[in-house]
Amino acid sequence: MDQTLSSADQWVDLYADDLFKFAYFRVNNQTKAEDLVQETFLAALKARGNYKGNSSEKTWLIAILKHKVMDYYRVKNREKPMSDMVEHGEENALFNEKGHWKKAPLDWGDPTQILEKKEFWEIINGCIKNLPQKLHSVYVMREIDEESTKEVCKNFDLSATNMSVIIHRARAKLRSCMESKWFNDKEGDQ
Amino acid sequence: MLSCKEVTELLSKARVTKLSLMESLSLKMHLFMCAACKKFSKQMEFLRSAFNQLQNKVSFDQKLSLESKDKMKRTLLEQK
Repeated sequence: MDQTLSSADQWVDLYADDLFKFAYFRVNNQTKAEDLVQETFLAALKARGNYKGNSSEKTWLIAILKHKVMDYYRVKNREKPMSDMVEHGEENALFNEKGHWKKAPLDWGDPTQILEKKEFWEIINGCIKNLPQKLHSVYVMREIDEESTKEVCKNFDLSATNMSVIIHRARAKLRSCMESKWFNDKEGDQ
Repeated sequence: MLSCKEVTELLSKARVTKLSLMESLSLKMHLFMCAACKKFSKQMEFLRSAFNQLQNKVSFDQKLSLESKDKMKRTLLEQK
């Protein structure tokens, strides 16, 4: 081993804030995020001998935390039946019975300029926080952490078809949320 | 011929699995002709990249308290 680890109590000063931020973004709950960070340190302590020094200490700890988050998602969503998710999607309300747009998507202008604005990030953060639990977990795992379809299906015990439905519903909700909270107002400004 | 609703569903499906040749061709054809769905598709791509950057952009009010950190340290030291 060419790289040695810091002592376990040093980890807290060095990495606890970053790990907490990572966890909080994914679980939306202060206590739970703290618990996950604590569990990560304990697991890391046990697994110290396996650390090969191929990645930085922080990357290694984040990888452990990521698995803890996935476990948390799995347990948390276990009792939520798929049927709740598959029926009556509000995204269907965008279309008439022939499948045509009732109201076409708004013109968002040049959205790249928006990325500079602080309020944009606050609104987008509010929209993702408001996703129902299962949509949020699946969306984060697939679209933000970019886990493979196989991993996500396995973690939530889903078929690829059901996963498509969940991703579609999450995307549609996020789009509607952003359109009503951000782009709608902006249209009036122009 | 795909409806606009089916097109939006296929766009999401493409994020999860590989589309069949038939699906992929019908999707491209529809997007070529339909301004509303094309706009929708661009919005989805924009949002995906925005959500991807989100965690580095947003400043959280929630922080770890000093007490929590101390508790973590104590727990870790006890393990030795």
